[in-house]
Amino acid sequence: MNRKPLTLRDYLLMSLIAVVFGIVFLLAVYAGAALTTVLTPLGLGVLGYEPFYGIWYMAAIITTYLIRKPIVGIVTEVIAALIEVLLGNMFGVMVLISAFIQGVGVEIPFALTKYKNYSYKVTMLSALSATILSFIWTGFRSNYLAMDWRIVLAIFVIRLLSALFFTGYVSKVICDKLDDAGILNHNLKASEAID
Amino acid sequence: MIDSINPTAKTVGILLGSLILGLTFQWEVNLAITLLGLIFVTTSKRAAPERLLKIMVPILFVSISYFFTGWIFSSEQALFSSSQTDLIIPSGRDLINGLNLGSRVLAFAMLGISYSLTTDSKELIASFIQQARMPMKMGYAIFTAVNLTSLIRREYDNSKLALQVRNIPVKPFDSKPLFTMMVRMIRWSERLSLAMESKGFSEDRVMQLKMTVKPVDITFMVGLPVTIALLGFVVF
Repeated sequence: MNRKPLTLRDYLLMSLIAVVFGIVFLLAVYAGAALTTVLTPLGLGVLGYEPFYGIWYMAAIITTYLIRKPIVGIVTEVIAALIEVLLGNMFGVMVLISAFIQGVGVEIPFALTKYKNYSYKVTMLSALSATILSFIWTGFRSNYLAMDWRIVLAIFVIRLLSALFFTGYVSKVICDKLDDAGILNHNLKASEAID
Repeated sequence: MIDSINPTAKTVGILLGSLILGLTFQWEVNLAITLLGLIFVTTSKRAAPERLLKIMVPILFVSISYFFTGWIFSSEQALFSSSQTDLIIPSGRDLINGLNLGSRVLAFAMLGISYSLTTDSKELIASFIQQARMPMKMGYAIFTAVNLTSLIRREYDNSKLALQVRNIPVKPFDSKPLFTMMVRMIRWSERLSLAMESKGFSEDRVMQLKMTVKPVDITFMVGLPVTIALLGFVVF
C-alpha cells in the first residue's frame, strides 16, 4: 500500500476530475429532470434520477485508480461536493454527507485489497458497496419507510444497475485506456497489480 | 444576518440541523423549517432573487414528484402513522403521507439553499483551512478547479467536437471525450502543481483573509439545531 501523503498534484488531479464529472453530472441532471417530468403524474417521479446515479461515483473510482493511495475516493467525493456547493448546489451542506458516504462506499473494496487490486471484480464491488451505503443514506433522508416497498426496491435495483454500468464498467474502461496509453506515472500497471 | 456567520460554524449548524430534521416526520415541522430557510435567504444580500428563482423551480418540481409518490405509493406503516393525526382530508390519509414526503424535500432544500447561496466561496475555503484544519493544498486545489470550471467546460466541448470532425459519433455519456479529458486533467495537474510549487506554494503559506469565530457564530451553530429539535420533538 502506498502510504505517502497526498501531494499538491494529487489534490489538483482530484479537483480537476471532480469538475469534469461535475459537467457530466449536469447532463445527467437535465436527463433526470426530463425523466422525472414524465414519471411524476404516475407517482414514479422519485425514480427519475436513479438511472444516472452511477455517474456520481465515477470520479472517486477513477482517482482511486490513478493515484492509488488510501482515502483518495473519499477526498475526491468531498472535493466534488464542495465544488458543487461553491457553484450553488440546492442541497447545500447535505451533499457533503452524501459525498462522504459515497466515497466510503467506493473505497471499502479497494481498502480490503490494500489498494493492490484494480480488477473489474473490485470496481463492481465498489459500485455495489457505494450503492448500498448511499441507499441507506437517501433512505434516511427521503424517508423510504413512508413509501411502498416495491418503489423502494425499484429505487435500489435501478441505482445498482446504473452503478454497475457507470462506476463498475465505464470507469474501469476509461482507466484501462489511460493505463494502456502509458500516461500514468505510478509504478505499477493494473494488470501487474492484479497478478 | 446569515451572511456574516462564520462559514465553518454555519456548516456545522446547518449540518446538525439537517440531521435532526431527518429524524422528524411531520409536515408542520418541514413547513416551519422551509419558512425559516426563506427568511435566511430573503434577508441575505448575497442571494440574488433571480438565482433563487432559478434554483427554486427544480426544487419545487422534485418536491411535487415526492408528494405524488408518497400519495400514490404510500407504505402501510406510513398509513398507520398518519391515521394517528386528527387532520381529516377527503382525499384520504395518503395525502398526508405525500405532504410529509414532499415538504421534507422542500425543507432540506431550503436549508441547503440558505447555506450555498449565502456563503462566499473564498471565505468558506479560508474558514475550512483556518478553523476546520483542511490541508492548504486541498483548499487551493479546490480554488484552482473552481476558477478553471469554464475553461474545463470549453475543453470538454472541444474534445467532443474534435471527435465529431473526424466523423466519430459522440453519444450522450460517451466515454471517448471523457478519456480525452482525463488525459488533459492528468497533464494539467502536473503542470499546475509544478507552477504553484515553483512559486513557493507550501502548507506554510500565509492567508490574507483571516476568518474568526465570534459569539454570534457559536449561537447560530448551537441555536439552529436546538430550534429544529424543539420544533420537531416538543412543539409539533
